[in-house]
Formats: sequence, C-alpha cells, structure tokens
Amino acid sequence: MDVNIRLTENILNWQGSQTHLPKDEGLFSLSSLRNVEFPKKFLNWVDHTLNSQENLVPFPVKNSSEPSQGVIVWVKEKETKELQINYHQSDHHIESHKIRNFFFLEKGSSLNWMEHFANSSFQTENYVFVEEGAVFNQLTVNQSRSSSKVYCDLQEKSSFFSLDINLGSWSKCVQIYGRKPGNVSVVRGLNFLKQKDQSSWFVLNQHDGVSGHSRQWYRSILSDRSRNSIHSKVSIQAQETDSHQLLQDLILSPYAKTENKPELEVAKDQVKATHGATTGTPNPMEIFYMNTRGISKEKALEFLITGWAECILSESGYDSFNGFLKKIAPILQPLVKKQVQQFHLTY
Amino acid sequence: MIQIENLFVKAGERSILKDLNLQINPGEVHSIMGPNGSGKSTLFKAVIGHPELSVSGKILYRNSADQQYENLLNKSPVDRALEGIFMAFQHPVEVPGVNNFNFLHTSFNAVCKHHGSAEMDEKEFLKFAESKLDLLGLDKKFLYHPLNEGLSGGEKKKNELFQMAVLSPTLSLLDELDSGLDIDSIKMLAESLKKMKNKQNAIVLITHYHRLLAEVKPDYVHVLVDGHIKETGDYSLALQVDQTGYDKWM
Repeated sequence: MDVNIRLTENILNWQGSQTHLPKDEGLFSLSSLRNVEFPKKFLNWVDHTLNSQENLVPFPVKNSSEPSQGVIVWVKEKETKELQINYHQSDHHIESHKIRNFFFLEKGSSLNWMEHFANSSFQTENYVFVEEGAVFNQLTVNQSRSSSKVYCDLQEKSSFFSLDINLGSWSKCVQIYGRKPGNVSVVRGLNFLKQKDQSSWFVLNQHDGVSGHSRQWYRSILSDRSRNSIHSKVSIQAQETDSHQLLQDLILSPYAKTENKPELEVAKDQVKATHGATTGTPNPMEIFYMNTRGISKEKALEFLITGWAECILSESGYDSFNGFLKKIAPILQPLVKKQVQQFHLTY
Repeated sequence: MIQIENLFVKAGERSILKDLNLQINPGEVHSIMGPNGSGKSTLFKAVIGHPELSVSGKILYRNSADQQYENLLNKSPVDRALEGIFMAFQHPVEVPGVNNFNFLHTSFNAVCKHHGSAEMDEKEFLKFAESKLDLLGLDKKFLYHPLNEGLSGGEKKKNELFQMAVLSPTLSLLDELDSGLDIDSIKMLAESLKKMKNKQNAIVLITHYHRLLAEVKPDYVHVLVDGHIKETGDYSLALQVDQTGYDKWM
C-alpha cells in the first residue's frame, strides 16, 4: 500500500504536551505502515475495506486528495488502551485537513478512543476492526465544521460503543457491520445546533451475525435557523437480532428545521426490533411545574434542555469518559443559556 | 392569609368554579371534599396560576400578618410560589434528566433570595435536605433521582411531600396527596403534616378518603359541588360525607 505520510504537530496535538507518538505502545503514523510488521489479516482487511463497495463515503483513494495523515492504533490481545486526540489547527489558511486512522483490536482487547474537533475544518475517517471479544469505545466531540466517518467491522462477541457530541456543524457517517454472532453496538449522539449550524448524520447498522444486539439513540436540540438531518438505518440479515433505534428532536425555534428518517429493514424472522422518531417543543407543563416551585421560566427551560441532553450523556456508561465530559460541561452551559434567551415560550 | 372572593374559573368554554368564596387563616387546616369534577383541583390550580385557566374575581393573599393583602391574579406562578404558596400535584409531571437535588436547591435558593435570607451552597443544602428526608423517613434516593421520572404514584406523592418539607411554604395546597399511598405511608403523611403545621402556616387538603382526615383532624371541612361550596363544617362533616356520600348536596 502506497501511503504518503506527514504527521504535523499542529494538527495532531496529542494529549497534554506530548508531541511524539509513542511507537512502542502500539501507535504508528501512517508512514510506518510499510515498515512495521502488522498481522497480515489486518493489512488484508485494510486493503479490502478501502476498496469495498460497502465503504460508502470514502475520500478518493488514489488521487492527490487522499488523506496523508493519521495514526494506526494496534491493540494487542487482551491489552487495554486509552487515547485522546485533539484535532486543532493553528494555521487557519489551510482550508481542510484529511485524516485517516486505523484501529486494530485483537482478541479480548479494549480501546477507549476520544477525539475532539476543536476548530477549523477536518475530514476524518476511522476504520475499526474489532476481533472476538474485543471492545471499542469512542467519544467524539465536534466544535468546528467537520466531516467524520467511522467504519467498524465487528467479529464474534465484540462490541462497539460510541457517543458523538456535536456543538458545531458536521457531517457524520457511521457504518457498523456486525459480521459474526453475538456482537454488540451501542451508538448515541447529541446535537446542539444554533444559528446556521447544519448537521447531517448517516448511520448504518447491519446485522449479519446471529444474536446481534444494537441500540441507536440520537437527540438533537435546535435553535435559531439550524438544520438537522439524521438518516439512521438498521438492516437485519440474521436471526435473533435485538435492535432498538430512536431519533428525538427538541425544537426551540420556528425557523429551525429537522428531517429524520428512522429506517428498519428486516430480512429474517425471529428478531426483535423497534424504530421511531419524535419531534417537539419543550413541554409547557414541565416548565409550569418548575414555576410553581419558584423557578423562573428561563431557569426552568435551562433545566429542561440540560436534562434532555444529560439523558444521553449519563447513560453513556463509560466511566473513563467522565473526565472528558466534565471538560465540555463549561462549553455546554453558555450554549444552553443562549438557546434559552432566544426561545420564546408559547404561553 | 388568603381570601377568595367571587371566584369564577373557566377551562376553555367550560365554567368550573362559580362564585366561590373561601377564607383561610394562619394555623388552620382545611379539607375540601367533593365528587369528581366538582372543581376541587381547579380551585388549587387557580390559586397557583395555572396558565390554561381563565380566572376572575379576587384571590387576596399575604404571607404574614405585617403585610398588605395583594391580589394573586396580578402575579405570575413564580411570584406566587416565591411568596410561599405550594401545591402538591395529584399527578406530578415527570421531568427527565433534571436531578431532584439541583432542582430543589435552585428552588430553595430562589425562595431565600426572594425573602432576603441567606442562600445555601451545595454542601449546606445537602445536609439540610437530608435532615428533611430523615424527618419524613424517606429514602435518600429521592435526592438524586431524576425529577419524578419512573417513580410510582406513591413515590411521586412522597417526593411532593419532601419538596413541601424543604420549601416550608406558608400555604400548602395538597391535591389528593394520600391517593396511591399505602396505609403506613398515609400514617407517615399525617405525622409529617402534623410536624410541619404551625401557627404561621396553613394547609388545605383535597381528599376522598377519611383515613387521612381521621389522623390530621382538619379545623374546617368544605363540601364543594358543581363549582360552589355547599356546606362548611368541622371534622364531623367529613364523617357525614364518609357515611352518606354527596347525594344530599347534588
């Protein structure tokens, strides 16, 4: 595989002041793809995946705009890793960065991967291969304009947990293929949209292995003239699948617009599956209830919005992400206050 | 404390309360009894300022003897609450994701601020709230539970009682707080109300059951039928209702 690599500190600002990738801990820049002896199965998988028609929105593979930066995370059998990456661009003259990351999780291993799009415009692709019994946890926070994709292959009894928090504009694509029996995927998303933010989400969860378990839960809070679109599809091609999908919107402005499409395709019998979508404004009776306890309309609405969002966050269940989530709390609060200011109660 | 004069209340086009008059003084416990749909809950909702009701007449209120009476109809629900009016709802709404502790802490400090008294920080309030839970014999899980979410009917009523204990209102309007409670819980409710009752506050109960009244022994019992108070008496009136029902007033 011919991959041209240049890893720039400006772009990949690793946790703390660390500027060198710890190669001896299973982290490699894309340039080392040819120099390190990765297991053949991974290299074959990379080659297959990048050229597969299943790979819905890849960057152009063989032209000048191919991503030249990124990392490879190799988590060996029964190992546990935790990594945090901040996509931060100090040179604002560059319009967009393309980054491609690969994750290989061997049997029984686990990885907590946290990524933060701090500013500017990034395009990232994460390719994840999760072997038998391994667990991949991902937390993504976007504060900029970005485009992000995750492609995940789940083997027997492996798990994929993902929590996406969008505070800016983005286009997100999540493709999860539960190839083998007993795989688990839980995908949650939270959109805080304001002004002219636009969010577009495409999620595909395909169950090919029997006894698969999946959950998809997305919540969006829209104010001003923001736009949201979530197309979430569950495709069930195996028996004994248990799948639930829910898309929910809280609309705070008559000028905001949302288009959600929960889609369910069932090709086998003996499955349990639900899907649905809800859209609504804040419940005036909930606000009134709080008013009767001396809490102002503004504060009550703040409680409602924060509470609505926290349902997603509190159920993420990833203890290791709690510290990271606390860091974004100060970012969320001003956003909520701003949304409250611009929301006019209807009674 | 509160004087309700010539109160007319409509919900949409439907007249519910028709020329209702009622006076409640500090230190009193009142009970309002009546058949379903007679307007009992509507009376409470009118007092707290429910936005879906259209109200005319006067609801004069003062939270202490050294204040002037003011017409509540000119005040928002928030101001009424800050002035010490509390309603325990028959069906408290669930507010997912809103932590009971944060909610009550905010509510408590809003009342303190309104009255110019010192607000409590989280640590102080936690101690204070836990003392109220102990007083009521309630589980500490109420503190960090999402507001009413997923609670049983009885647990929601207990949470309302807990809020009342924390906020120490001047006028408490309890709408069927005993419904959904088991016998032991009704005794606990009665004991708690007795503890919270003092010469400065007043409690008004709506109930269909004699059990709670037998414990609390209200000073006045009102029979409300078709939007009017048809009869007012002492505790013996509640016993009469329990034995004969409302036919006499229908």
